[in-house]
Amino acid sequence: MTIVEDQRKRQREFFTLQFQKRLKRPRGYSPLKSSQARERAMFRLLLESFREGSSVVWKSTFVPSEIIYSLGAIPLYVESFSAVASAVDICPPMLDASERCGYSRDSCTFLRAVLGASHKDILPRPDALVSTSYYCDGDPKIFDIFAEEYKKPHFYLHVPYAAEAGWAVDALAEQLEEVAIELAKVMGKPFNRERLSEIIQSSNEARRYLLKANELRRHVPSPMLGCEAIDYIASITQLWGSPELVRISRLLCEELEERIEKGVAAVEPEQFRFLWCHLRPYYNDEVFNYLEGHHKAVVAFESVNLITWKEMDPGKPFKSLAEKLLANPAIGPYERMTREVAKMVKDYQIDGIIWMSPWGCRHFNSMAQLVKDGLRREMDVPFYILDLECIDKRNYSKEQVRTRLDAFIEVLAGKRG
Amino acid sequence: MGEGRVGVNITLPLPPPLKGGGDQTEKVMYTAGIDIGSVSTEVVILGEEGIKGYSVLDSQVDIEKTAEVALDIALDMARLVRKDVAYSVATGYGRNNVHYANKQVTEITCHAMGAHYLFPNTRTIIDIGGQDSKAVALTTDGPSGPRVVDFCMNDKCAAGTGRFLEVMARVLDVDIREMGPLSQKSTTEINISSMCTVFAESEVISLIHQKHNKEDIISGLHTAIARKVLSLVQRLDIKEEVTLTGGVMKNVGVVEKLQQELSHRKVNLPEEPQIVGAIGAALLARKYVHS
Repeated sequence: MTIVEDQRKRQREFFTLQFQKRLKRPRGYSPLKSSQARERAMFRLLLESFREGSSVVWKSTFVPSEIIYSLGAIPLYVESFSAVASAVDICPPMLDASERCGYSRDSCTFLRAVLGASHKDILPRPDALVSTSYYCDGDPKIFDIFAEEYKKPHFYLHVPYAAEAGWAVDALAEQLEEVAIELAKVMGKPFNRERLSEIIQSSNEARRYLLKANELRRHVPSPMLGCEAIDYIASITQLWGSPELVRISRLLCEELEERIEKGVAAVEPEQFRFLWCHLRPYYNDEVFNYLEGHHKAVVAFESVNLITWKEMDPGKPFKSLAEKLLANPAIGPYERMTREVAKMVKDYQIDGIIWMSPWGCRHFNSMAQLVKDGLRREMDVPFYILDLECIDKRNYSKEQVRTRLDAFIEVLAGKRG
Repeated sequence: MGEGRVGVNITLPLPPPLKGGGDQTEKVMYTAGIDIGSVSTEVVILGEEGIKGYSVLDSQVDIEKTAEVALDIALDMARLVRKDVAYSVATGYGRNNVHYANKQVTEITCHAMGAHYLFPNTRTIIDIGGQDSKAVALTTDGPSGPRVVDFCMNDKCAAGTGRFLEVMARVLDVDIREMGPLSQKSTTEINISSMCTVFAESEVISLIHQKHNKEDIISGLHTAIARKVLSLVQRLDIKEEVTLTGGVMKNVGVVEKLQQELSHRKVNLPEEPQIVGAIGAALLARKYVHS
């Protein structure tokens, strides 16, 4: 066994141990089988990427994983890796490592955690890297550092801010095709367009199920806890294009239907229904448990589970993927997000919105007040901007957060009278 | 127990009459509001005829004991005993540690209710307490009386709060109660940051070394506090009138800076801004007692 093989084996064992720890961690709820399957699929993907002979492409949030699957490679969604690492409590040394290298504690903790992990060399090594300029413009800069560190090519997608402009789709589709061809060269095989079309079909199938699941979640009382649902991150998951996502999303629909049919409510009695915007703290479930368990205020829907793109055309994979990417309301002017938030409020009969403002997320934070003010002009729904950290548990203050949540619940109760 | 004050000689309006439930003519109803903050603890005893008594103590490590002592002092002043209190509401960061309280309500709601009680036209509240500052918007639209519709709180750091002033008073070697009057003698405007208490402290030390007047430095600190809290207020849909609450509002310098910045609005200052949260809690206790 070579040194590299030995190291990969040790890394696999380490993460297997972490996953087992994660599964044993007590939760405040019984997860759905589909949620357990999703969690297993995510870890399997990570473990696969340590396997000798695996081709791994590091990708940032908005890079379509369908292209990477079509090349027979494994997408490593680096921000998602940070979330997993935070959930199994291995983030603090990774964050410390990045701080020792001079990266500011005020910057994005998702990216800082990966920086630390790469310095500690605990990540699957990439064969290539792909990032986008927008929405997270920290990504390409940090991917340049990784590319230099691992001596691998970094491909970059320039995503237009003017997401709804007529030229935006074609401009992005052209780049996606170029990146796909370049990645194929790195993998040492010709780019297979038919395979990408098949993957697009699979992605469409999963989309149909997840749309149905989102529809089912409109039911009152809610059939699913937000604490559990938010981990699907349907808008950006790296499982898009994988057969696992089809199986998981089909199972999710079946389980939600069964719950609704049997009258099973996620929270009983359901007092309030929240819309949660952005991601979540990954280091513990306290905030969700407090809302859903203590206050019986269910997180009925999450902005990260929103599916806004239309069914893709397998005959035009790059144009379709470009449309998919640009359909994300986080991209472009804030009015797009305001529009979608207003729609979610109506669709899910929302009583109040919690807009999580994570430490170091410049883009999302800068949009918070704009969306709040925009919504205020349109509807009377309480909206609270909650400063909360996703990854770094050192930035979490339980009592401060609880006071804000208690007060927000009082606002909703007062409105109800 | 730390330094404390008691009082009954405060001029306040009568509380609203109780609606529904029990026979009010039989026995006078008393309620208690307990506000356990990071720096001070306040208790207000409310009766049909208004505030019967109140106490203000320094918060101690033993929150429960502080709450007990503060209640007993306020009751003594009101010439009442514990069994005369029909219902009590605890608020502030220690609200969950007051075992004798019937209910817990956040300081956001309590300050709003207290401010509205004192100044019924209040629609915006600015509260600066020991470790946090907040802006609260309320409405009286709807059948159930005043209610909070929005709020903002400081995040990440307690700069610009009561603790911030305490640290600066120590560095400047002045009594915190003297900071307000001293700042009124200032002649030169000095800019001081309000991002971090420790950084601001080193800035103040540097200004002392540069031979700046204490009066000017203190005035600069008050400006920093006012601007920081106003950035919270401006995020809300700010409406007339604005009421200032919290212990920091006993500092005339901070109040003046806020009044200057809000010159286009009517700004109310309660006679005893520190007990507004406890008043709100006692008022809510009146509401809950028959619910």
